[in-house]
Amino acid sequence: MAPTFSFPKGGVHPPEAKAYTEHLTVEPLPLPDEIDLILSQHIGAPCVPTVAKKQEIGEGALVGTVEKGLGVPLHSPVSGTVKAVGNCVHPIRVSAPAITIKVDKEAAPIVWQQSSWEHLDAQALLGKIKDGGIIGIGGAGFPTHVKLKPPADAKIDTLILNGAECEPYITADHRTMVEQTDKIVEGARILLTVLGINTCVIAIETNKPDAIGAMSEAVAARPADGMDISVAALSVKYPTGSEKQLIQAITGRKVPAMALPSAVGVVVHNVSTTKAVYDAVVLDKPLLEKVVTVSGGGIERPANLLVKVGTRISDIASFCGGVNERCERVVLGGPMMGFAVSTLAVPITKTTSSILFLREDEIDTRPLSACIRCGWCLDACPMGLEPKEAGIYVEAGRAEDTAQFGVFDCFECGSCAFVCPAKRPLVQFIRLAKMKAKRS
Amino acid sequence: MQPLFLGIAARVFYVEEDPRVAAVTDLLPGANCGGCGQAGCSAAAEAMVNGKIEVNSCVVGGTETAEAIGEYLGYDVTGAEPTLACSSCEGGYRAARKFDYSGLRDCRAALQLYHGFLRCENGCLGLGSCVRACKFSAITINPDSGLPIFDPERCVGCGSCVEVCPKGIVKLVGETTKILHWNQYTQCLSPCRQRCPAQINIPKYLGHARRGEYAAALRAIKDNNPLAVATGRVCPELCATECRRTINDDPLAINSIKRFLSDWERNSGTRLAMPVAADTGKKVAVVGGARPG
Repeated sequence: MAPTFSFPKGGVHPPEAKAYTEHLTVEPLPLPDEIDLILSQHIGAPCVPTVAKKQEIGEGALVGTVEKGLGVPLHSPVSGTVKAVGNCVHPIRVSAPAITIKVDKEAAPIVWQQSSWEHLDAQALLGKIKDGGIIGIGGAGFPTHVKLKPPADAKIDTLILNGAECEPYITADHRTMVEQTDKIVEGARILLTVLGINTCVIAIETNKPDAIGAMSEAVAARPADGMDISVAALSVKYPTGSEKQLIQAITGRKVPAMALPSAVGVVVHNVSTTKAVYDAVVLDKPLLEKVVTVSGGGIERPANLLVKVGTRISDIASFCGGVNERCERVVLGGPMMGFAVSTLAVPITKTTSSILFLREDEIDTRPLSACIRCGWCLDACPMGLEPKEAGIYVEAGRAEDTAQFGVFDCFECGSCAFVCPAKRPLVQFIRLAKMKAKRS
Repeated sequence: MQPLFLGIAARVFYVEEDPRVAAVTDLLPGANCGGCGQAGCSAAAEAMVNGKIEVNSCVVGGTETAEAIGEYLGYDVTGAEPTLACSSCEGGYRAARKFDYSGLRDCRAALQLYHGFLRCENGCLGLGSCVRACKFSAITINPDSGLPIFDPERCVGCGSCVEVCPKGIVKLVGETTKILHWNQYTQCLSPCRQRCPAQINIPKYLGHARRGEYAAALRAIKDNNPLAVATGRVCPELCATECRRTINDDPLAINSIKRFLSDWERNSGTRLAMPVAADTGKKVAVVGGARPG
């Protein structure tokens, strides 16, 4: 067997719980009655709505643009009528500006026409990616066209496609890799063309052997044309899918603190983002829908669904047979880094990969106690930080003195809180510390 | 040999200290509490002598200490009044919740998640960040209401609680501010309180009266209106016109409760001690008699 790659420091092995959905083919969710398009889907400035109330819009129509600053345009994933331009509940904030669209279920779906892209230059490709509203749909929501324009002094030599999907439960990227294999490979070629480089590594954890097999076959079947695309198997360890850990696992290069991957010559994109890039460039189809894993012991029928952006959780839950009475908590995103939601009226965004309906035996509600200084969090932290010290300082009211423990390098993977025997909410401590401490 | 060396060293390396620092240190309480923001009492004395902090910065010593230091250093501090912490929220457990919160018991941490678990944007979360910030154990959380109680005997007005409250509910308020305060329509106040011409905190005194805390209830009335016995009998009860209870049936007998409370004090044989602002040495003339005066 080929060698597997891993990052050297820290990491944890939470129960994978992917058996719920890893074998299930992605099925499209029937159109809901209404959708809420949150105007701030990405990192950066929120979109400004370009439609008015009662306006009729078609599938794929532009509904929001970003004039100034970082951002991508927003498109309507459905045909219908604008019901309101106001606010809706937001998965992380209390409420957020959004466009509510009443869906016209009778409208015929658009057939997206395929066109060739090989004759286009990098600038034209970048424009298509930006106009398609493509962002990092693995979770971060960073506009993809910005990541494809690294600083002029950075010498980029490697593109890594992130198919690690190390969070438990989630199988959205896994199914995309198995079912949309050729589109991902073609998308990788587009990204390589934009970056002007030849080397691409598709990194997948070994708990997805069918994805590794399918991707390897597809890569081998496609003529290389001077491009070096390969598939690398990663050891199963959380958080391998984190950008800096992934780069270190694959290339052995360590991204310096507070620096971007371009500093070590690497650009990382998620495999599902790559598929979306293919859609935007080859089909001229904007980012309208998302593969979402619906999983956990609290839902009647776990599934992988192709969902229109803006669909409310309640519509998804009722399609999956409804929430059973043992469901204790609903989490948007993975169990390690996701957010619990307080209402099912929350719409999904471009970055939602999963909705978990967790039973009481799948969550941990034991109360926190004092730090016993066992040091497990130091072993678990993939960044080599001291979560326990930050926690103790915050508890003692000295949050402003925590920069020395590297709280600004913490990307909140939750490994420390996962291993903590005292059940201390270490990530929450660090979030509080980041608020009070000064960046040096 | 060694004593001789030390003797010489003491003379060579002698650090001349401003004699006023030692004198001011003696005037300070010597608790080294750090409430003034300095490392301890002698550090505070040095800062006061150098004019870096105000002479009334000592929160433990209060007005007396401030006046003594002021007199010694030649500042005029008469009329300086102590400010004490108080909270403007009366919701507590009554406030509707968006979700059950099970994370860190800290208001600032809780606020980072969906801006807190209360529907009310201005409401007190009651997780007690102020309690832990207080160096003088002046704050406790009332287990029945879920709201902080400020002990005026222990509060020294250092402001640590104000700093940690993420919702800006805890404030330092002096007597003058209390007396001169005038309700604004933009403030989040109950309708009865908003309507009361004397600006009495009606929900607060009704709440205390319901729990049998008559002294606290009367104190809440007297904060704005010292003549509870008279108003309890002649008030036109504008509050009743706004009472939300009228949506269902009749308004609460708000004024009758005031009358009951004032009679309770009259018949108890003692008089409640009311906080008063520091003496300014000036006199006041009242034109007219009784309430309208």
